Amino acid sequence: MSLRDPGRAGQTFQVDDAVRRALAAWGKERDSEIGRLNLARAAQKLTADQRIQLHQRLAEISLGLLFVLQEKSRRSG
Amino acid sequence: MERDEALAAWAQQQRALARSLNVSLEVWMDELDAAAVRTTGLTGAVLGAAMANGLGMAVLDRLDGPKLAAEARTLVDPNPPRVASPVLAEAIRRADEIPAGAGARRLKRSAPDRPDRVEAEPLPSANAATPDAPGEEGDP
Repeated sequence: MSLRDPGRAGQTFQVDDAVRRALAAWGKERDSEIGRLNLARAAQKLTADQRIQLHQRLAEISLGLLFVLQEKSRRSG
Repeated sequence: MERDEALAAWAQQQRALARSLNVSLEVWMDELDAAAVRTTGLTGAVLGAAMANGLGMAVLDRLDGPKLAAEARTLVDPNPPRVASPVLAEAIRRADEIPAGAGARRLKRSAPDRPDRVEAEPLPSANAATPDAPGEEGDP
């Protein structure tokens, strides 16, 4: 995939404010149990559509983190 | 070794994340598969993570979403359960998370434990009549 991929520009990217807040709070304490508990509480307060968005963004972030982990290890040899 | 530890930590985080979101690991891995083909969201996530780790935008040229999702699935669920029931599959995947008891061993064994058959002389009552079998006591 490239930044110049013509299909990429045609997609919309929306993040609801409540979802954005939940993601921001989780991002600060991503590796801790408290962070996960706060995420669970925040998810319970979201509507069904917002929860779908939250899952989608979290899945994308997770894959992004995995990709960067692999890239860093590839560079370090 | 350090790489393996980082990947194992990532996989562990995914399992914890699925639990926090109150979804099964199967559902969460489906979410990862779906995220792999949403190029805009995935590109944004990769860029954000790359910038935070001091990598440049050139990493995007090596991004292959479906391949990444397949690797993610292998990390999160290295030994997929061979059962049809989603409830039992989730139980097997989560069995190692409870340290106490022998649940994981029992769920993951390939064959059930059966008592050994003991070959011995028949007991004195072996030929006695019962409501289900006439027995041999009265036979000439």
